[in-house]
Amino acid sequence: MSDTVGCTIEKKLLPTLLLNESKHSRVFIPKQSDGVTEYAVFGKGDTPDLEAGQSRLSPKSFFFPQTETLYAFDYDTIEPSASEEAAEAPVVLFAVRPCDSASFELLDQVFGPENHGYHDPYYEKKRDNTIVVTLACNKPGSTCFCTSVGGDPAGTRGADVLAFDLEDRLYLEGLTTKGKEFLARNGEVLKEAAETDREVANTLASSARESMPAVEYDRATVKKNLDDQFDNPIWEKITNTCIGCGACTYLCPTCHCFDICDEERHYKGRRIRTWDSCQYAQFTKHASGHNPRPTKTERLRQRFMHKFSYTVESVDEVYCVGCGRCVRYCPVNLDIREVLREFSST
Amino acid sequence: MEDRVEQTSQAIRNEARRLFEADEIDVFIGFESGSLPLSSRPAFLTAEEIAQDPSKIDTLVWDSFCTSNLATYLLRYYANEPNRRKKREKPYPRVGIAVKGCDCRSVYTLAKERQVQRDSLRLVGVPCAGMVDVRKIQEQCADEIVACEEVDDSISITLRNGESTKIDREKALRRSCLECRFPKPENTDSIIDTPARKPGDGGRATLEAFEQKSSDEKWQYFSDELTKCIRCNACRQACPTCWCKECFAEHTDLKWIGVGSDLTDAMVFQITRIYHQAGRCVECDACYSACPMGVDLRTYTNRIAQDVHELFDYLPDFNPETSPPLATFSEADSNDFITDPEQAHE
Amino acid sequence: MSEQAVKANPYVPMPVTLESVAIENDAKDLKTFALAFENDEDREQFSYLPGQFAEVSILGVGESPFGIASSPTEKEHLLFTVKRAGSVTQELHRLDTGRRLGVRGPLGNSFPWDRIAGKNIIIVSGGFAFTTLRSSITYMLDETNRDRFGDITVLYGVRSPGELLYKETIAQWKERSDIGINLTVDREPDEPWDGTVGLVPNVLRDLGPSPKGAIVLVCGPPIMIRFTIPVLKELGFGEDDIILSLENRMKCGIGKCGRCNVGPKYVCVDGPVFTLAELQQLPAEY
Repeated sequence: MSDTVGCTIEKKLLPTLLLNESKHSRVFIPKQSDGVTEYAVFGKGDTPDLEAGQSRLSPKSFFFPQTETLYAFDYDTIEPSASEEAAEAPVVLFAVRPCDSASFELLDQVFGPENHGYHDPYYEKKRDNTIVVTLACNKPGSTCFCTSVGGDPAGTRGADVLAFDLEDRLYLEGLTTKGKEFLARNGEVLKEAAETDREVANTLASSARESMPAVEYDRATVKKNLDDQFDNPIWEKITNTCIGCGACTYLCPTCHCFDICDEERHYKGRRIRTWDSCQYAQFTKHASGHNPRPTKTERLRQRFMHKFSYTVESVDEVYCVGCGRCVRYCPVNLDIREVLREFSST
Repeated sequence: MEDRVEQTSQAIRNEARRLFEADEIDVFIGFESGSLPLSSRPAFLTAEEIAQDPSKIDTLVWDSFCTSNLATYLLRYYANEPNRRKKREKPYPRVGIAVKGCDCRSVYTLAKERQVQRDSLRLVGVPCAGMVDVRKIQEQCADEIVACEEVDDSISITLRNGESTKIDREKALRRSCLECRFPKPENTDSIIDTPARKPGDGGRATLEAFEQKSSDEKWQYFSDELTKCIRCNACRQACPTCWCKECFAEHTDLKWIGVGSDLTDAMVFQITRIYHQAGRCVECDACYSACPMGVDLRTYTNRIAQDVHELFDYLPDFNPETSPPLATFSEADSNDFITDPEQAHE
Repeated sequence: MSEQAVKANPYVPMPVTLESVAIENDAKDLKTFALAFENDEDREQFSYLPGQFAEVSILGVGESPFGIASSPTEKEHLLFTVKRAGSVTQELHRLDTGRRLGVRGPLGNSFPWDRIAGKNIIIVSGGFAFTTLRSSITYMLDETNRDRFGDITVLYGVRSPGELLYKETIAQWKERSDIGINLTVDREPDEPWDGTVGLVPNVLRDLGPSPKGAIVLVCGPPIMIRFTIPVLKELGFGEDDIILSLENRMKCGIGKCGRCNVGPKYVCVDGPVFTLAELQQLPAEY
């Protein structure tokens, strides 16, 4: 771990800290209802549910909402969008899981200017305005496999602050300038951590790590096999069960494909972007009717190639953080881990 | 006496083996154990595979987790080749398929709509004991489920925290299964000797209770449910009778609805989809089981089915001769919805 | 919209006015739209090279990517030749002049003009894919550029004479001595025709251009490309000297929305122009 000076906060003081923050920021905390965990706005009297585990929907929607106005228009003007302006208010995302915060760094590489020089002001503004407080996982879920794709239950990627749940208190480390400022301005409810706090945190992290399935997937091998076996009929077999819905892509924290369309009424309207999915036939269909990925087989292969080959080649990253949402919620149990295993033999 | 799950699975394996050995089928569609507890997933065995390794038959299972409607998978065998205008030249494959009551009714519905060819199919009927609603089981568990075993009428669950618990299967069944009128498939080519549950009331009692709610309450319920929808299309894709080549929701030439997360769009999507299922929906709950967000679609699919039953005395059953109400008319059809223009003026 | 604003928000189109519409073919499903920038700074900012494309917006309907058919040497207008097909193009075909539209771009790479300079240029094209080649030819023939290139040979094939794009422009080119124009139609036409009759690959073989010091730009329907590549190889063209332009469905045009990829490359930012050598490294998903 870094030489950052850590601090602790008693859990009963968390609402005070969050209330302080909510005076100048919109604060989101994990909440559970009907067995579904989601990030909801913190209000007076709320307590973050730190036992709630992974949220059903990934928090990517904070930066890349399912529907977003790019701009409003009438026949004569193109106005900057309201959502772009609303993003001016700073946001604190509290208790994001390490896999999800790691996904933010992957999304940065798509929406940020390092991607061929094009800015995405909608994404970037929201991202710049947000402080990510990541909560290390003491009890990874049975479908979690972050360690197999370069992540860690106490991973710091994409996090401004890393927190560990030490039962009655949290141990916190500021990782970025933003994160350190966050801790500094909340000094009154924080205590300097003892050396033992850090040791306990380390112990929790390593036992969480050990509870995860062994890493059985080698990035380079999988990439090579995927590339070499692009035309392998195994893809047809893998696709057999797939029903061609977009659940995996919509739940995935790194999937970022979108559509742009117009909504118009009485000569006024807005241009919006919405999530889209490579699993849909319409996604690549030309106006002529020709479709470069005409069947589910090509479309499913695209999803895997994109995550485990194409992005490795283009930006040296695997676009999977091992959160396991697609494993858990695929309607037909098409398991990404099994597909990786299929392409793991040397 | 032998356990029901093992007995049924074995009988299906025997029948599949017989069909392959008699060279009556090229493919068999059934279920295999999934990678997660409480999941069985569609399995596809080909004559080629079985010739190479006859033991593959033994991967077939039949337990309380076979929630998919396998009729969905038949459509692809009769589709035209992608990116080709001409009809296929290859003969249709001969498909053996294990069918519950609902799957079987979907097959007959599809046959009437000429989406499948009944005579190229070998229907292996499996009298149905009902399938579980995984959410009902999860609600009864305090921690994540890591393993399960089904023996006769109880399901043993092991939790992540090491605890184990037994769940009464009957109490965990899907509503559609508890209320199912047709648990035993008919007009199949063969039938497995295993008991079916007693036919239910088709949801009449539940629906009557729901009808007691005020319009506002019903609207609130519908709104709350559809707020969860992420428009991933899992419901549509899981549905055997949602086979439109181009879904109205994806029309761009004439845009009916938006594709984003707008509540009205989600409502219009489901209303239109479910209306389009009038007289075709077999209430298999595949849509509900597929939904990653747990939206209650049953209330609405059930209502449309009951309306069709009451108004047109039609239920999509196992009879290949009757015509679905949307495909025919008779003078006796209910026409209450047609208002007399004279009266309307008064 | 100023240069800075465009850089800050690449999704916002620049306002343009539809100045003229020309019907290009007998079937009347191909029209050329001439657009003029409303703001001077936009016009200056929009500096492009032949081979690039732009997104044309009809607010309220949507936007679609089209190859730029004008040449940067033609200062007054941006030209786009559009086939009526989807929702945006159908609406475009209905529009009257004077209507305000939006343009985003220029987008994508261009033909590799640095590499092309000093070479003999062979242009092989079929159907309405000729648009960015019109741009290229006009660009090369411009008096400020003509010296930079060797011989220019054009082979352009269409189904029937009425489907030929840019008839007037081509007639002007035919008057010139510094460009060879070869037109062909698929079948013997009913109307008078002074070009050849035959499919592009066959006519190309008969024409037999020398690969020596030459580079070839190929744009056309997939079927034409499939049969043209072997002929070019037969004639001795290397895979690096055969240049193609791809089309895939696009939305953002800036490498973010994720739909136009061919393997790890995005047609919108890494293309649309690729050499045959580059394409052979990629899966054929286009």
